[in-house]
Amino acid sequence: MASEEDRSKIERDRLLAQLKGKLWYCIERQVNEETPFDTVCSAKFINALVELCYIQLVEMGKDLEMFSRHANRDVINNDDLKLLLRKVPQLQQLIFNDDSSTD
Amino acid sequence: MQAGNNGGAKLKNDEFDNLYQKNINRRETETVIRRSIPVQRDLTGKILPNQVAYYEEIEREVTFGATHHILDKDNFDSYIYPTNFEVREYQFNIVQKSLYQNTLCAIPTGMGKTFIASTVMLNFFRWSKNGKIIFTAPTRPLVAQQIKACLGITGIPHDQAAILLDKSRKNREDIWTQKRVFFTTPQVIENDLKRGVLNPKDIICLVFDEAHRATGSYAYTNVVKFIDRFNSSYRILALTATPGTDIASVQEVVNNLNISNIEIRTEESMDIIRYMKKRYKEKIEIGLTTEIEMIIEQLGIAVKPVLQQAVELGIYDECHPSQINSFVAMQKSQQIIANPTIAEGIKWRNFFILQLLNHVGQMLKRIKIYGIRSFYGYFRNKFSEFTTKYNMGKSTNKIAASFYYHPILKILMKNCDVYTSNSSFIGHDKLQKIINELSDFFLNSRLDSRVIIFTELRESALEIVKTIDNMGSSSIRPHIFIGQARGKENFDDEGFIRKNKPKGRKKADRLKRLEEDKQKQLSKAKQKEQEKVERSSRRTGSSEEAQISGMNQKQQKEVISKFKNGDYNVLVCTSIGEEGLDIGEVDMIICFDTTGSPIKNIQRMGRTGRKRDGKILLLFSGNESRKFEKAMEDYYDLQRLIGQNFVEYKKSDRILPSNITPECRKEFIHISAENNELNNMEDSDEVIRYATQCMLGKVPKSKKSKAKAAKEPKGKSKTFFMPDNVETGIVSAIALVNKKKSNSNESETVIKTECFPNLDDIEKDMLASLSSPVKPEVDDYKDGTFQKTDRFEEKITGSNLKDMLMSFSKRDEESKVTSFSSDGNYVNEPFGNISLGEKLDINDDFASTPIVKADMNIGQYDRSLIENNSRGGVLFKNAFEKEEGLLKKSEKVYFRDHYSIDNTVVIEPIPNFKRYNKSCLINHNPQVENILNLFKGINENKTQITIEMNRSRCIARGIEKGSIQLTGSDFSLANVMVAQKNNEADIVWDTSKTNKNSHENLNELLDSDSDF
Repeated sequence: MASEEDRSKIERDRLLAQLKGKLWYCIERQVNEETPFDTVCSAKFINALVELCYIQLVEMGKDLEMFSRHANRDVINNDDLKLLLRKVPQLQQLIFNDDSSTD
Repeated sequence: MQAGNNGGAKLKNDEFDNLYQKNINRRETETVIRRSIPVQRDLTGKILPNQVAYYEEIEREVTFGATHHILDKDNFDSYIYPTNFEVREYQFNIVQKSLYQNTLCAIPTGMGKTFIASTVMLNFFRWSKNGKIIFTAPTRPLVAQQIKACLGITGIPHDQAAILLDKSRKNREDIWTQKRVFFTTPQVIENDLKRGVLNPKDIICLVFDEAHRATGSYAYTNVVKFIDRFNSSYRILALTATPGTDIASVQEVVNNLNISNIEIRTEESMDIIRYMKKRYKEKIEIGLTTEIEMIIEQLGIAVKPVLQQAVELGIYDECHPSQINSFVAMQKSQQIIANPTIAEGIKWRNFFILQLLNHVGQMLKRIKIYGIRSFYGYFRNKFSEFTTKYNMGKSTNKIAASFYYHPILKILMKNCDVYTSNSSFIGHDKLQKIINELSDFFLNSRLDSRVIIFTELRESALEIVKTIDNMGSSSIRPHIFIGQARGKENFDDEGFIRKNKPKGRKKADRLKRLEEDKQKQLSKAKQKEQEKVERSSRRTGSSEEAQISGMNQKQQKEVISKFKNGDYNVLVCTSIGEEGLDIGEVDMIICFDTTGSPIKNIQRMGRTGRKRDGKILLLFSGNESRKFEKAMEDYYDLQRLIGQNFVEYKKSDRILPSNITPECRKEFIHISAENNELNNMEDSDEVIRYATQCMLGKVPKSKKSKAKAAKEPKGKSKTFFMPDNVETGIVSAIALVNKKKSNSNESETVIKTECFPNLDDIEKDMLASLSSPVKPEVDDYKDGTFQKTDRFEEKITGSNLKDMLMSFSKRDEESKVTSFSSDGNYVNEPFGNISLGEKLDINDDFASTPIVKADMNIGQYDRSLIENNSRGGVLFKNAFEKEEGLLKKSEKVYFRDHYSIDNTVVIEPIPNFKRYNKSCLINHNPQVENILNLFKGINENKTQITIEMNRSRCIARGIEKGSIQLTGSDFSLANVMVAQKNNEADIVWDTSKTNKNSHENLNELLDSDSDF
């Protein structure tokens, strides 16, 4: 059992690292796009942004999970996202208009 | 430097205090206590706007420092209480209190206020060496009284006292500086303070007589306000018989005169009653005669329709026609005029109704209180005024017409004509009563008995005089006593008609009119002359004359002196006789009417019972008794209120040091012969004349010694009195702005003007302060220069070297170097950054000023040397000088070496959320807590975080290069998240596939990455 747990923990850590790495990549790209050409961001800054986003995303995930559970579902769907974004009408509109157009 | 700053700040505070308080030794500390009060909130618990959530309690504490007056320490241990008169307990108590705090002393007339004032003045005279003591009273007789008391009782030397009663006295400047005790009127003080003749700081004691006048902008108030600006250490003693009509007016006096204590005694006070002379007060209610009642009835009938109309319009309260009150009607009419919402037509109709009611009210008042003659005079005047105007068509006032043309008034006038034509007719029972009383009084009283009769109206006064005169008794000799204003002339109906009748336009008409005018005036003058002659032939002539033209000061004085002599023994006064006149001893007071003012009533009654028992006769009719009782009741209430501390006092300086409590020394004071002479004088003018002569040194004994002092140089320039610590003179605005800078300039110039011929010492100093590596160079330079110059002035001492360096701008130095170099001797001598320098004046050899430079940093020195060589020495320096901005040369080089154009912006995420913030103590929610921990970790540069960061970064690089394929896992939550993120980031990635290689790749990358 212990080895099983250890294994899952290692697996989890590995996954976490990969997630963060992915996040880093995305954020760095985004930052480079948004900022003027000659702006260089230190690694520390990007790291801070990554960590911030990570915290925010975990929080978001928890919320979404709770919402779906509240609706007696196992799968998170658009309705939960709508609920999550209830205070950001602009974002909501952006996402769901696109959805409806693609649907 | 630091100490200097602190000193500056302190000085500023002091300055601020001085500006704020403007006082010498008065300090006021203010404590504000804020207490929260409940606020209104809405349903969600938010506080509604525009509410004050607290109220403030402001506590002011006033403290006094040591006084600025020079005090006589030998006299501190005691104060003198003269025993020349009987020692009265209340006087003793009041004196004791008023020595240490500003006191308002309210005791009944004739109870020795002047004695109290003299004693206080005497002690301040002893205690201070040069403080000025001033007594002020509004009228001459009061001043004279006080002079007598001060010089005659307390023995203040007469050559220290001065009397300033008229503005015409020439050498007032000298008097103010030479004397110490002054007797003046408040207007004189106010004037001289403003002119700068009297220095407010010299004043140590100020006595106000009749202090109840210190309201509004009376001179008393202005004097105190003015002195307060410069002086906070002086004693005020305010004397009055009647502090005010109500508590508000008493408070005003207290505020205006900085009173900290009120000593009030009434005629019923325990400690005063045994010293009071007996005053038999007799109140007599007098009914109306049948004639009067008939007239009132007739008036009522005539006015009734108008009154009814007024009541219907709601502009006057319903009442019996005989109760119409002129004052109420006048008030209401003023209200109507002031009210802008009423339409003009209605407004003026209502106004005329009320005006008529006002007149009728006046008539009723006159007939009820003063009798038929007074009434009829007034009625005739109003009647003829209106009827003439109405008949001329100048007035279309139908309302008034309905009253004045009422048939019943014709009967009324017929009756009145009959009454008044009979000279022995007595218009009111009050007059009858007076006659009876007077004849009784003079039958059984001494020869020197005097009587004063008070009334409010001049006509009534004249009527009383005439009535008394008609008695034909030689022992009763009345005269009128009134103010100097001219009497109102009655309505001139003839003149009015002539003025307003249609005029001819032709020249002849005009000439005719002028002729008529002349004749009219002539005949009028003749008539007046004739009347005058007639009057003078009668015994009451001068009274009648006075009633018409008023009495000027000279006439008033004459009447008073005749009254004292006994030429007249009954004086009929209007309100002028109520206060401040030194009328002498009066045995009986008759109040023909009453006033609503307790002050007036008390002052009237205070005219008697001073040295021997007196009698007061109050004649009431109509509602007068009620009015009187109410006024007196109010006054006793007021006295009670003052006794119960309803007045807010102001704190005053004790002046004497607080650790000294003088003991009382009761002494009989021996009066010098000159002063004693005053005691024998009765007449106020005589007293003033004598005292003035004393002041001017004209008393025979001291004549010669003082004669010279009077011839002091005149034409002194005006003095402006300023608060302490004030900078005088004109200061330009720029000087105020650049205050700091100008100071440093000043210090610099001071240094510059100093000459140091002893050069060698200074050189040594300089050398000592230079660092060793560059020493040889400096030596070289110095030798070179020194050999060339015979003599130069050294301007900087070793200790000031650094300061001087700071004050020189970089640019100056550079230019000087350049010019120096161009001179030819030192072209190749490279100069780097300056750290020490010496400014030298070389008189003949060099036009400009050279500077010795030494570079501390050898490395930099080398670099600049290289640059110098590569770019060509002087030229480069000149060019570089222009480019140079904020950066030093070495800094500029440093930047050139270390920074590229690519590295312009750097963002470092180091916010610190836990500092300078009270809210750091409150627990955050988990999310925020996480963020805070994150930044904390980043700030502290934890290795673990750095490692993790690097790992993430490497993975990111890997993803970028495509060398890493992300692996999925069993955690559904993570899947969802990643999936979502995936969509946004537009990256395809397989969640089901697990790639073992990626891990190895990662490790490889981590090993290879050496950047972090």
